[in-house]
Amino acid sequence: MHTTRKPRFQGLRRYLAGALLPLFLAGGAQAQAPLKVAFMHENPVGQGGWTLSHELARKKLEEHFGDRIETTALDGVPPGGDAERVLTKLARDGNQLIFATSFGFMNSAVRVAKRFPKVKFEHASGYTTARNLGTYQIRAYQGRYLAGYAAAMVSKTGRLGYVGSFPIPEVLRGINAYTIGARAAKPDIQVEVAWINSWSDASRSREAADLLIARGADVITHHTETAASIQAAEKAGVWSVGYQTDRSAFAPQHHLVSVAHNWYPIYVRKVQSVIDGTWKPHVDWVGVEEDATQLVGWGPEVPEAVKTAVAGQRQRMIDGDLRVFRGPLSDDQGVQRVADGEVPDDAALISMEWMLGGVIGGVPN
Amino acid sequence: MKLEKRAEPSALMVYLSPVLALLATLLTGAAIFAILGQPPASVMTAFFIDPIRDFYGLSELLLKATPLLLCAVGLSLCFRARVWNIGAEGQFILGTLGGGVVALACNDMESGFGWALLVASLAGMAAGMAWAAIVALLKDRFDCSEILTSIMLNYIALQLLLWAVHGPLKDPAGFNFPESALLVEDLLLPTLHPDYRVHMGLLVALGAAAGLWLLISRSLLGFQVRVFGESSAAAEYAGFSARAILWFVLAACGALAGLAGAFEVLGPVGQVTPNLSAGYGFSAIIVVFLGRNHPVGIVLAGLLFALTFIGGENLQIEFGLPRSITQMFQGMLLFYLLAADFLINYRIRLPGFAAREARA
Amino acid sequence: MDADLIATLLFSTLRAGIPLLFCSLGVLLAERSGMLNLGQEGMMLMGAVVGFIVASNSGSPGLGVLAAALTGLAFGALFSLLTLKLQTNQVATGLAMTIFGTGLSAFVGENYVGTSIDGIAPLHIPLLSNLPVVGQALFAQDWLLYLAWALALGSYWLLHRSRWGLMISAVGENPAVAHRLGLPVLRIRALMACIGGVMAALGGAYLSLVYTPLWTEGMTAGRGWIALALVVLAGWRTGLVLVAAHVFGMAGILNLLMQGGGIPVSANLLAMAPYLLCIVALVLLSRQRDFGRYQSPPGLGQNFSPDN
Repeated sequence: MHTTRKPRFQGLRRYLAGALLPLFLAGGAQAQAPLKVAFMHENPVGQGGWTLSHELARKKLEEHFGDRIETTALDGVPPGGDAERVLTKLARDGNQLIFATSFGFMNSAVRVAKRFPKVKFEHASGYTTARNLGTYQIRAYQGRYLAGYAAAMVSKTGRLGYVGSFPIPEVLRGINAYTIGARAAKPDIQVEVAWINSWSDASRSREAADLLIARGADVITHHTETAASIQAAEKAGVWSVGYQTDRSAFAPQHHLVSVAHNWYPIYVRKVQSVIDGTWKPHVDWVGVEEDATQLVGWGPEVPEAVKTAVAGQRQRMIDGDLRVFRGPLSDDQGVQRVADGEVPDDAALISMEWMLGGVIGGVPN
Repeated sequence: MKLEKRAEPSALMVYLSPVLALLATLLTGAAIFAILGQPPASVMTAFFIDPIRDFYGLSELLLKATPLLLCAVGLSLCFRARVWNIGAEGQFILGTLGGGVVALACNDMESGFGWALLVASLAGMAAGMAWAAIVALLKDRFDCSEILTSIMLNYIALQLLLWAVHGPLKDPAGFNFPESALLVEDLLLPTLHPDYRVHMGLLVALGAAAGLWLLISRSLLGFQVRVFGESSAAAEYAGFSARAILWFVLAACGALAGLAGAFEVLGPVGQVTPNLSAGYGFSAIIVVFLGRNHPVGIVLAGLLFALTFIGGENLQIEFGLPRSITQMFQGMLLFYLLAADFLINYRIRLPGFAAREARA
Repeated sequence: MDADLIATLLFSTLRAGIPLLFCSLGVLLAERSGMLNLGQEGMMLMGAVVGFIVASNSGSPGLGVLAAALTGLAFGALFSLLTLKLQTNQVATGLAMTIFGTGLSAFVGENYVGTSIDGIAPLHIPLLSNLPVVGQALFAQDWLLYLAWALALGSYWLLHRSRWGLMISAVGENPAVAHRLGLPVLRIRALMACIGGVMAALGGAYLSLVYTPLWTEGMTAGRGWIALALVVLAGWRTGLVLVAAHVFGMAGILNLLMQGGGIPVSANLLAMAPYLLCIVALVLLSRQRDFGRYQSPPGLGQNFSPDN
């Protein structure tokens, strides 16, 4: 597996296309039917995390393209037989571009894509591509690194708390990146993880946050759908780092920052390429360079110095001077996972099942 | 208005009450949509008619109904014996594990896939049966409420499945995502038509429903189940073992629910994943009640229930309505049905009506 | 472990048990009269969402609690109407309530996802709340927590110390005999089912107004089912229900503590523990049949109609 690098000047071309488009429209192209774009989500929007981040992007997408597209979205679709039925239905309904936003949809997307060769499919967070199936992912670990950097800067106790859900690669990648970022700011910083074995259990999330705070953490972050741990941090008067969407509403006083997924630039690009007829099935991992993982919702008490330092780190990332994962990196068993000076490729990142040495809490099971 | 107990249960109402319940649900639903500012007629069409306009739609409906039917037939047997097994969900999950483990072990074979498929299905049945046997054992040996034990076992089964896909069954080539390898094509159940996904499991489910009908209407065992349902003391008095009936209904239900689980793995999903059961075991309980605990009724109710799932998706797609509408509809349908059942044993007398009747 | 950590843990473990305590007290009261309502999860969710909506619109969490209680009352009344008046099957009716409540709560709560409220503030009982270690945990909680304890005390009195308790148990044990003795079987059962609904909804409201003052779909995460299990575990005794609810509240936090202590316990095994324990309890209870006191109400889940 390898990642397709985006060609240079693509942004420029996109702007040109955008500027030229009204001309085409004026030239009698109004008769053209809108492009039908569909989204299929696993978690309910009502859980407020991952799916909501996609929905926010879809709404902006509709604003941007106006009459040129028509979007449909379904949430709460269980992976498996149901997902395949819904995908088929969406393809049969004449949707030309379909986004399946959960890892569990991958194999259904592969099967349905085979049956509808003219329809473009895009699957988030997986690893399989086909002639008409692309896959896309946000390099959220970059945002995690930056948030970890900020967290270490504001922490007085030298201890950061992390509420984890399940020890799957996506979560472990986040924990490792956060820790690497924190250590970059303060080498002796401690990160402790508490696993709650659920994506959406608000109470467990809160309990985990309370415990982490009681053990001395003064910055709390989470990888769960619910924002309950952010509230817990606010109540306890410690910093919080939100995830997936801007969670600052849950901690009006002590929020540090949220690492939000910004799917909008990816979606605009994909939709535009279908309209232009230039769509290709990429493995598309997008990070800070397109602002896909963004630090938003800075709290009112965050010192300017922290924001400046983080902005500096971000710029180094964009310039290519800073890679989040760079060897030597060893896991919690002491096994070296990345050799000195080496930068792991995306295949290694997507399957990351190890946790960085020194993180307190360990990988369950 | 007065309620009056009928001298005998109304035979007409037995058949009419589900229809009345459906009508009441439709009317309430239409009213809700009207309040939400949606055109009730077209929403209803999208919900109940559009999903089955063509053969493809029908095939999908049948596919969705297959696991529901298998579980419901098993539960029906339990409920007839008044064994309140709420555990079809857990038995289903064990079936996915049993079937999945065997199928995955056969994934690299060169030939003999037909046998592997058979063995995997049987393994699913056996696993489901074993899970149900725990309920039977606890009830038989310790007199534990089967309602409570079977609920507990559902949760334990789910954790077992999660453990398996995060651990031993995880696909070594799957980038550490919690799901098993994909089964090879040859290990999947043959479909009934090359263009559609509905598979042989449907025939098994319909066969099971027919078997249930034969059992309860034609066999001594079926009679015994019914007597046991009335009173286990009466069953003992009539000279047959109440314990045997208890074990039989639970084992049969576990086997069918387990088979349903194995069929999901060997059919539309083709791998073991953390979310194999979309609540089929729970939905099946409702199907049994909707279907009047009768084989034909269960088949119809299973189809209707499957339709509510697919119709609910349609509402999301076409009207942007939230998915929770489906659950509200399902709950409402069951409320109305249970309430309408009242009319089987009671009649409503309107004032003045009795007098007219007397004159006639 | 230092005293501060213990104090904090004590504070949060006591709170963690409260949603379960509310709901399982409701289950207990209803089941004592023979009413088995599997709709706990649905009622908790409805209580949580209505409480949150009202609190966030009115700015008054107290009003939220009241609204949640009324919602629970409505659901309890619906359950009574169906099972007592229309003689529907209790298992099926309860399941329908869970499905319906789950759907309806998601539907009405849609616009409240991602919003936050202040929730019910803790009280600070002067002097006592300054006691070391236990001060905060026992004397600086919110009033809803104290209400839960008061209700536990109340149900203890009602079930085990009052004449009413005898009547309720009689109805739960054998409704036909109770009816012949002249007890208003249906009225007692309806009342207990309504109380059960109110309590379940209060449990939900505790989650959305105190514990995690936010609304997300399905935020009760199976607590309604655990409450049903706890009552079994407690052998239908009020005192043990109180203990069981708090022990289970604590279990979640202990689990996290053990993780932090590097004790390797399978997360899945821990997650199944309450249910496994419950089955063990059921087995043990059946062995204690002779003790009589620890017994499920024999008429549990069975309908009764005075006409028959």
